[in-house]
Order: sequence, then structure tokens, then C-alpha cells
Amino acid sequence: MRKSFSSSLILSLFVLLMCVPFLLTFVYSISTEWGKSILPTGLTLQWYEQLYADPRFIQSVVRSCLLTFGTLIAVLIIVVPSIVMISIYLPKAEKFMKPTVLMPYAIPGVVLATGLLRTYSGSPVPLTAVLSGGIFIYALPFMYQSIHNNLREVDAKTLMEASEILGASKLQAFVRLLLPNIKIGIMVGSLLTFSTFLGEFQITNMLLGGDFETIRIYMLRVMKINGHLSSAVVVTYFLLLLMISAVIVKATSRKSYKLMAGQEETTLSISEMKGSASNELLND
Amino acid sequence: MSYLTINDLSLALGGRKILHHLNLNIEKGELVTLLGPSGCGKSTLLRAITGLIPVENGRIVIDGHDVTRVSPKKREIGMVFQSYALFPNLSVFDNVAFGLKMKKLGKSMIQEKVIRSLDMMGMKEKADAYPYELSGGQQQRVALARSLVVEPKVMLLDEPLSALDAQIRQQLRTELRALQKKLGMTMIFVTHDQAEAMYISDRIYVMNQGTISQFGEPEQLYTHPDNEFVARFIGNYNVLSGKQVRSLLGETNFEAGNGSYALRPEAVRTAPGTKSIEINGTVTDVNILGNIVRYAVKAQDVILYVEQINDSPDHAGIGENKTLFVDGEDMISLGKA
Repeated sequence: MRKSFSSSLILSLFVLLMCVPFLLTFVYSISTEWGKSILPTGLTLQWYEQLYADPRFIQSVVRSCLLTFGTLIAVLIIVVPSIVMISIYLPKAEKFMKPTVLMPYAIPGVVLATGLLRTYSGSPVPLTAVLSGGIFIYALPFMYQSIHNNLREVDAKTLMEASEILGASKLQAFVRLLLPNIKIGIMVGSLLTFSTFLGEFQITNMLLGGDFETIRIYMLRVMKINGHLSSAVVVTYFLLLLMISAVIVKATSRKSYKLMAGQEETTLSISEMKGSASNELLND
Repeated sequence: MSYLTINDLSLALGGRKILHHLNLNIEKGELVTLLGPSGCGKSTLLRAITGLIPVENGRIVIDGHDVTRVSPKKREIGMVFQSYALFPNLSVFDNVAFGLKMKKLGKSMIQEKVIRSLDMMGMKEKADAYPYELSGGQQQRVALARSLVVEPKVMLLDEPLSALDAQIRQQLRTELRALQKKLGMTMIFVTHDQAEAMYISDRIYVMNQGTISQFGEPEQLYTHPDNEFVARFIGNYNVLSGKQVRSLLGETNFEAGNGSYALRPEAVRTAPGTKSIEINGTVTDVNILGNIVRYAVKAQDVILYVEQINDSPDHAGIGENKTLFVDGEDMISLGKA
């Protein structure tokens, strides 16, 4: 009993710690003024009204979503088959893949952005495409790790062999057997990519800045004008993230044949992700 | 010509030679085991037969058709893996139906064949279950049903029982052998377990370092090993040099050459026979393996392993003397020096 009490106490404290910043942000976004007093002087929805009436805000949300989803789709189409190919048919390339996909972690966003600017400014390639390419590179580690682990877990090579002997072509085996079995890995990778880059700031700001106002750049601009308004942006951003994450989870796990272990892993990474995203946002 | 013929097959993986000029002949309805230690190339040979690994040179002929350059799906081969390799996203029924769907058979035909095949493996009740809901033994039964249902010409089994518990392993191997005989299925069974190989096979090919060391019926392999490797791998033989044999048996009693000799541990007896030679030694170790007791006896500076049925009255402990009798005819010359 005592053990379960203390563990639930620690858990509650942890949940509280994670939620407090968000709750306070929410309260700030609905208060008329909360500067010189302990409690807000009054409650209002005027900041939300003002925010949603601003066409620039709506545009920034749409831009962010288009950019992230577009890149995500490109990642899924190009990266997923590549990882599968490498894992199954080129086991020797694996040892080069590990350090390669980790490189984006080693290169700070500022350096990458500067490099991209120097290379592509003045070239016919539009900078939005360059931005998308930058995010593509940054998404590699998330995708590679989650899909690679998933492939190992289901012993993809043997599954391919078994299906080929049973008369399936490589494409049939990929679509009918491999994809459904690495769905969870793809979903985790997609969610990580999506939640990380919906709020991407560094590269976007350096490459395009005010010319391509994403939700984060909009928020930064508003923050200088009004704290309540930017809190409203944060809350909206969060709800949007939660909603889209829920849709992705729902869409990909309709049939839950997978072992419990796999699902626990997924939920864990989603909550982790939300936590890290919120910290990141509130730190700026 | 045999039903399945492998002629002068060689293969290298990543620059390393795995198989060297192999020849194999398997008749229709025969169960042949490839037996050897891990790393001897037996699984690679199996994959070469399926077509999953391309061969360097040599020919593979199945039922009169040269399939050496034919893709895996057109070879009409079934395969069962050690790790079962069931498709985790499909139910038991759909796993078994997969091969038939790939052949584009009609729905009612598939239904009928799948149920019959599952019934044969005693898995009909589990048709709607998913692989993760089944035990290892049940999963392997489904995997067997999945390969049998497409009626392959040859069925390959890559250590299919090695991941199972001892009891289930024995039960399944008995069933597998009965089923194979009933269906007249041609099977190649890979294992590193000599007891399993002896139990299940019509013939055994013993493999060592990518070559065939010896092949033949289990009885023949056991009683007449051709070389030291087979003698040690198949029967825990005592392998002795000519010099050791001379000092053990005495030069006058047995005319030993310079090559090595193999002596079965159960051929060393404790009671004298008509032509037996007496050896006196000291017991250095005793292991009880259930119905068999295994002694290590030191005589004339040679350690001799002796196996006896565990009801023998002349039981000896470590350090005690033991009198043994060996018949010169039981000494098998392995030929090479």
C-alpha cells in the first residue's frame, strides 16, 4: 500500500509540474490584466476574439500546417521505403546510417540555416522548398529510429522471405505485410516530426522570416505587443497539436492487433513529446 | 534422376566462401536432414534452394526442372522458419490463406483448403486468433499449415523445432514425421541436434564447413562414421590414435595402423565377450544422464568414455578401479593419419 501511495504521489507531482505552466498560460490568456496582483483582475475572452479575427493569424496557422504536412508526406514517401530497403537488403549500410541520421542533431539550426542561405540565395530554388528540405533533414533521426526499431522488432527480413516464398512479389510483401506491421513506428515517427516542426522557428526565421510568417514567428511578433495575446496563441497552438495528434493516432491504429508493449511505447512517446513541446514553447 | 538434385553448388556471401561444390540427391517423399554445427552452411544451403540467395555456380533441379535461375515464388517450395515468421497483422486464417491468395484462387476454394490444412495441424479452433495470442508450438503449427496448404513440391524446414520447449519439441517432431509419411511430402530438415536428426530422417547429410562430410541412413552413419568429424558429432565416439589403441589393447591382441580409430562408448563393455580384450582402468568422472551412466575411465594414460545402462550392478565411483572389455571388431578405422 505504502509503495503504491508514494508512487502515485510522485506521479501526481510530476503531472502537476507538467500541467502548471500550461494552465497558467491559459489563465493568463483569459485575464484582463494580471501584472501587479496575485490573482488576475478579471476574466475575458477578448484576446481570443482579437486573435481569431486577425487574418494574419489564420494565414500563419495554415502556412505552418501546410509546411509541416507537406514535408511529412515527402518524408513518408521517400524515407520509409528507403529505411525498409536498407534494413532488409543492405545490412552493411546500417552502420553508416546511424551516424548519418544523427548528424542533424550535431549541426545547430543556425549553422544549417546560414549554410542553406549561402548556397541557395540567388538560385532558382524557392526558399520555401529549401526550408522544407531543411525540415526534411531534421526529421530523419525521428523517422529512422522509430521505423528501424519497429522493423527489427517484427523481424522484417524473415517476413519478407516468408512472403516471397509464398508467392508474393516484393511490392506486394511491402504493402500487404511490412507496412501494416511497421505502422506504429511510422506513426511515432510522424508524430514526433509533426509536433517538433509545427513550431519550428530557427530555420524558418533565418531563411524567410517575415516573408513566410508561420505560427511561431507570428507568436514572437505578437509577444512584443501583448502578452495575453501571445498566451492565447500558445493555447491555440497546443489545442491544434493535440487535435492533429489525436487524428493521426486514431487514423493509424484503427485495428489494434499489436502487442500491448508496442502501444505503451507509443503513448509514452506521445506524452513525452507533448511535454517537450510545451517546455520548448514556454521557454522562448 | 532424383526428385531434387543439387549439382556442384558453390556459394559465397560477402566475399566469404560458404558452400563448396555440394552434391545432394533427394528422392520424392523422402525426409532428408542437413545436420551440422552452427555456421556449417546448412541454413545457407536451404536459402539457396529457395532462391533467396543466388548461387555462384552449380545447378538445382526440382522434378526435372532446372530452377537455378528461377525466382523464389516460382519454385513451388515451402519453408518453415525457426522464428515461425507468421505475419503479425494477419489472423491465423489469413496467414494460411496468404499463399493461396497470391495464387489468385477462388474464395470458396481458399476457405476449404485453409480449414482442411488447419484441421490437419490441429489448429482449426484458432483460425480467428492472431499470432501473438498463440504459444510457440501453436505458432509453428500454423506456420506448417501455411506452407503445406500451397502443396509445395519440396518443403524446407530451418530448425523448426529449436525454439520450442523440450516436451513440445518431441511431440511436434513425432507428428511432423507421421504427417510427412502420410502426405508423402519431400522434406529437407535442418538441425544441429543429432538425436533429432536420427529420430526423424530417412537419410542424413552431415555438413561441416560448407561441405558434405558424409551422408546415409541414420543407422549407417551411426555405426560406420567415415571420419573423425562425423564420429564425434553423431555419436560422442571415443576417437583414438593408432598409438593409443596399441597401448590400450596391446600390440599382440590388435593390429592397429597409424590412422585414428573410433570406438562407440556403449561398445565398451563390463562383461567379457568371446573375443574381447580386457582393459583395467580408474574411473575419473561419472555423469548420470537418466537411463544412461557415462564414465570417464583412465587406462594406459588414455581417457576412454564408457556408457552403460543405469541398472548395472557393477556401479563404480570416482577413483575406483573398473575392468572393461573391448571387442577388436568394434574399433572403426577412420583411415586418415
